[in-house]
Amino acid sequence: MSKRLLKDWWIYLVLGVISLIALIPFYMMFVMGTYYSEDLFKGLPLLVSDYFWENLKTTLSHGLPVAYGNSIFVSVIAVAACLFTSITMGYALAKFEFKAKKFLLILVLTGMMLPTQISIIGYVMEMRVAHLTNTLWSVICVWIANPFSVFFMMQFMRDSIPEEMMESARIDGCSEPGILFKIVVPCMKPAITTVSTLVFLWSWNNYLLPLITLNKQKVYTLPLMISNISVSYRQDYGAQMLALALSTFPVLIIFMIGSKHFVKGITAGAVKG
Amino acid sequence: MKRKSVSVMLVAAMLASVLSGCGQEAQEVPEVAEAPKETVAEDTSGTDQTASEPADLTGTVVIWDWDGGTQQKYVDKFNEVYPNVKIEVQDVAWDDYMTKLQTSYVSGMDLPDIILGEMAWRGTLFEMGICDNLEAAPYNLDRNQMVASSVPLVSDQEGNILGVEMQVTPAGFAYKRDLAKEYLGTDDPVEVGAMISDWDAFLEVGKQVSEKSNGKVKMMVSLGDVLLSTIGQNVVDYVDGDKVDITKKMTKPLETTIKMRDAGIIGNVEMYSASWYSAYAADEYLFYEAGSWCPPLVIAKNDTEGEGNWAVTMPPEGSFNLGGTTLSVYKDSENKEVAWAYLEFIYFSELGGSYMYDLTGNYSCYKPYYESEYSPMDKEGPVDKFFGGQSLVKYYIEEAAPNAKTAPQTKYDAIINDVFQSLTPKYMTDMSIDTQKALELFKEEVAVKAPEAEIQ
Amino acid sequence: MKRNKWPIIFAIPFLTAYGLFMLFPMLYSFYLSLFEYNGIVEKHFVGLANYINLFTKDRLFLKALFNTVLIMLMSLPVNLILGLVIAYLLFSLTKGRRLFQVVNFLPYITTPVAIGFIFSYIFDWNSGILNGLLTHFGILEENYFWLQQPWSARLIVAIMIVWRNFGYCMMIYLSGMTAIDQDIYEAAAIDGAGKLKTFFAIVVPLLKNVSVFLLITAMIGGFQMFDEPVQLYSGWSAASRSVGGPDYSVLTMIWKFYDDSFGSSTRLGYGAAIAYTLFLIIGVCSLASFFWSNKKDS
Repeated sequence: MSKRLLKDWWIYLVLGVISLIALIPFYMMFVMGTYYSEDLFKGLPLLVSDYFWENLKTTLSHGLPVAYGNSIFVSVIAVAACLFTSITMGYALAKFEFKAKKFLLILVLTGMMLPTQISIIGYVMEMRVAHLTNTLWSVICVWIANPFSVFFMMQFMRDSIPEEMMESARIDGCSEPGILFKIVVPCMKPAITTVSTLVFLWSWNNYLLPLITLNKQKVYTLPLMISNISVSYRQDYGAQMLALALSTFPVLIIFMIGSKHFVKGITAGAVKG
Repeated sequence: MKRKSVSVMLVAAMLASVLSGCGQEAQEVPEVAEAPKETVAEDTSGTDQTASEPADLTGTVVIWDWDGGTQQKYVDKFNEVYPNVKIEVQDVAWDDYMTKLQTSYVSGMDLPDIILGEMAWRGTLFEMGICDNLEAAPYNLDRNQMVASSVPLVSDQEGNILGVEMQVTPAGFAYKRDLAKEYLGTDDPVEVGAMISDWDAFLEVGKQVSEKSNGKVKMMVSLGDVLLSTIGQNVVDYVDGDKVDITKKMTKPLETTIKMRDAGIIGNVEMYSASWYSAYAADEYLFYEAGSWCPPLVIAKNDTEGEGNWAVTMPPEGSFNLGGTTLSVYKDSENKEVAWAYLEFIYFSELGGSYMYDLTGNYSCYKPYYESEYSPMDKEGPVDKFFGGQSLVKYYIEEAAPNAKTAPQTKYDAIINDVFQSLTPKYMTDMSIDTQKALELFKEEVAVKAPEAEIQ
Repeated sequence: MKRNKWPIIFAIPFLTAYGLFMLFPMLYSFYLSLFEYNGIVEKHFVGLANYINLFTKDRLFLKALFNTVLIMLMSLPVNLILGLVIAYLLFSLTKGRRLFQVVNFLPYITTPVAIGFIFSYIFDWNSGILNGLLTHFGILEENYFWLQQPWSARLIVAIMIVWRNFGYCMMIYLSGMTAIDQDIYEAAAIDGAGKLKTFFAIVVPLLKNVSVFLLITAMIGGFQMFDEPVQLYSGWSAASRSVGGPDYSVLTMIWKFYDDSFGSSTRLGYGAAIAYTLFLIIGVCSLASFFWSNKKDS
């Protein structure tokens, strides 16, 4: 074991350097959150300062807990809905031959290529007609059909779900939904992790749409709430950085939980070798 | 439908005026101005019976504000008298205000009953045609009761009054007393003001200060400060329909600005950047542009240890208008009377003026307030102590406001404001740009932002 | 065979939501793109005039296209290569793999606003760390205006994009490497192939589908570049405010679309025309790279 570690020293070195570069701005965000805003510009903020509690109080008084709850609600539902539609649609496109397949594929690709901002006016009009403005649903619905996720699921199933697996299940008399959810889905943990993390993150950081459809503090999501921390003529960068830092936790946790799915395969092989 | 009918009427009115008075411009203006007034009167005539007692007035009014905390203080005062009115203050970040307003309007979302028009986008807001004329029913505001310098600022091109000014906003130059003593030999506002009576004097003082401090101390933080001041001072009539005379509007400001830059007496900080804000606490700059709202909102907040060390004096070549925010009533609001009751109570009455002065140090635009029993003139303001005991209200209202020239805002003012911000760094960094080149660049940029305009 | 019924049933949930929340709004925007419409004055039909004006009258459209492509060329290859190499290095580790994995993904989950603020902070003329360091060690004589020169502005945006996105590429590559049959790695090891050889002979060819996927999605993402330049030059986190940066050097297509539709003006019809033109460009480029990668195969 230790011999192997020694042999790989250069990998650790390269990764260490890159990781450091990756880490510094992220670290700075956390450190900046502990500073009194004006002190940020007096010197390099490398060490933790003493203004954490004050900044925390500021963020709390601007409704951080409520916004946190709202954002979690939005992202969790968005991820769940998006996973369902993208797995079923991806499965249909990856593993079946049917007439409309080409057409559907084009629809998916079109959706990916059009900038999402373009649909905002029509979308907001729909939300208004459906009386969903000023509710969190107005920022959730946009994630239910996510072409990127469909494309990703489709590619993943094509590459890594063998036909034989499904055929043998069919012979065993398994229903089609049964095959999908009992046999295919359990093999897709890396893809599910990836899509969940990304959709969670994207819906978590979404700004333009909530800015337009949400008009009440009690339904504000995190990015909206954070941009409102600074009042009028003094930017409270310290408190805003703290709020931003705190807002990355859920994504971090999801990724940490999911990250074990990426390495399952090789572990066995490496030990053997 | 409503939007359509108003625009149809406007077109009709314009056509009528074109047909009737050939070239008689003086007559054209009032005729156009009357069209929206009439529609407003029709819309509201049925509900014109105002409640007699404050407690009888009910309803909910929504305000979008980027400084909700301050607005809430006023709302609390209002609710002491009008307990049955609910004012919802909705936080909207300054940067997003117009994006949110315009996009919401276009996609048919509810707009707030009270809309704020900051100077940076006021011209654009007024040209959207979504603010009610406040001289019509049910508001019946009397323009003679407004401080004279505020009237043009709240008017559109046709002379309709579309909002009440949150406060009177003439500018001064603020400075730190200790630095002034060290470099100018005095910290007395009158004496300091006399030393920088015009921009040439300002330049000379700058050179001396630079010499004395080995180049460490600059006259102002950013070149943008100089340009913004000189634009504010150069109040000229430069917009005629789609013809925009940028040469007339910008030559003089750019000339002064480039002169100051070449003398090397201005700091290199970008305006409104984080370092610009932190410059209030630095001891490297002599003068800071200070609109009447700056002492409490900007200076005291950004230089927390500067208590007693500040003063404000007259800018070179006199005061001008700096910033300011109007409060307008949305034309399709269902609570116009209630909205106006609030606006009148706080922003357009004697008592309201005294609340604002005590709570935030704002100077109401309601003229009778200054002669009433509530007059602030001999009352200490919330940041006077911070300014070494100087009476800020006396400076801003008695000295500055009467000579601050103002003009109605057009969307071109909003564009000039944008262009000024994006070009200043370039002027700052590229010393080869002279006045002529600077003007050309400015025209080019305006042309990009206003493709329909004919620029001169 | 049941196959005719099931794929349609599986497609229904997605298609319903897609039709409601994407297709209709997109078609509505397309309809708007044929009008002169700013939301205030009544709209009137202008046919393809908006599209023609983009190329004939608009000084900034082609510049925005140029900027977008340029910054993409500066960042996209670096992203893919860096992502692949790091993913492979991580994959071959025995210890500390998950730690490195999480750390390298951190940039991607850092909120764009914070990235904008931190990069402004690093490159700011006055209080920036970089100028401080460079002048301290005598490399620069006086502070350099990083954010105010067109080329350094573009470079900074490209750095931001690489910094933020290589973790994403790494993650997609990792999920692809995990999906490869593990016996192949073992077989290679038994044959005595070194890391480098395994990488080029096995990993790169087997991950071709993933690479094509990443290339196409990253290109689509690249054409839709928006967050990074915007966070650097507007909003509360910016050190320097202007639409498009110095000389519009980092004005991207989406930023232009956004500014024309929701920012400086509300020319919604015109904005929609920008977005649809962009869509056409993206479509052509994606198809081209798709066929190119297929052709190389045979």
